[in-house]
Amino acid sequence: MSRQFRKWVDEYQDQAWTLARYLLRDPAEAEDVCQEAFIKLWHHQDAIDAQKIKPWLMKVTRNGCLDRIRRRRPTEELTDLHEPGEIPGPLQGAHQHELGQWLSRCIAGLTEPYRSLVVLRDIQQHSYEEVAGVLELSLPQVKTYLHRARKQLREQLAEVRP
Amino acid sequence: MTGQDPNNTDQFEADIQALLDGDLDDRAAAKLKAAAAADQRLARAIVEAWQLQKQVDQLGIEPAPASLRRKLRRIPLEQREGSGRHWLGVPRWALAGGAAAVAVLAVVLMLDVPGPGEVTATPALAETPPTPQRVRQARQDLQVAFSYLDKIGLRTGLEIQHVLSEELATPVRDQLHKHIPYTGNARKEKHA
Repeated sequence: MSRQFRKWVDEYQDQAWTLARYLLRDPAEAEDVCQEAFIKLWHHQDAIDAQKIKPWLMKVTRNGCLDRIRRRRPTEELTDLHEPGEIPGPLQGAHQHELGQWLSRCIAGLTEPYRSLVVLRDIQQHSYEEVAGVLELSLPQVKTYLHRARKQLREQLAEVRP
Repeated sequence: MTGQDPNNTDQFEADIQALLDGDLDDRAAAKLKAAAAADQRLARAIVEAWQLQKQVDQLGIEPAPASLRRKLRRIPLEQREGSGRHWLGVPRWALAGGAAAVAVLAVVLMLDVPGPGEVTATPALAETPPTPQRVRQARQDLQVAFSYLDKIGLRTGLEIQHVLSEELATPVRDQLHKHIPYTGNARKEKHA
């Protein structure tokens, strides 16, 4: 049982961490959420279909993040996280690494569910079906929202690109 | 289908996304290509979408920090032993995380600061720069460590605030130290 659990940890810890990091800016909170998600997995592993461990874990991680965001002061979330206009663009001739960091901040600045969609689909390369399962959305909804999210990011990128 | 049509890009938005996902069939791709040839705005939108995807592809999945990896590996053992709560209601694993964070910081500082009589790192170490992945991992670990230290600082501040507001609510007539409990347990004992 613990061998199987360790396998899941090895396979999914990075994905859970990446999702939590994009949803929560605080790395300690992200770490706590990931740990809580895996503790839940430990307790419920017998009840979960082995084929659905990954989407289950992503869903639990995301819900944990959203719970923490809801518990924060409302203004914090509104002013700090969801104002793409406040994210300063990378400097002219910025290094590729800086551009990547800037894009990460833009993704973190998207509203839900756009942010989770971009992380799950574009960064983690989950299938549309898996993403729909994690976010409890229909397939057409996933595609429509993802289009909107990508378009928003594209417009931000176009503003800073020469 | 001209460059003046502001909605042309929106009409083809689904096709642009399908193109990037590799889901666009040949017929639709040819249609999109023809439209882009006649509409500079649409052509630009396709290029920008492609650039964005290229950029997002490079972000990749972040490796979990070493502190989290350690905690996750301990879950089976800790959950079998049974969960326990600790001082101030903080879960034991949270305190362990804080302790681990402090340990990481200590090690980093020790490595960074040359000891007495030591000029710099050994030549062998100095000549082998850390890989970008190790630097990234180290940065993450430090970020987590500092974040935990912030939380510990905040909790300590709240505890001090609590003591000052509750324990010293009445005027102190004898020795001050008798009115300041050092721990939550001391306070409980006092009230018992």
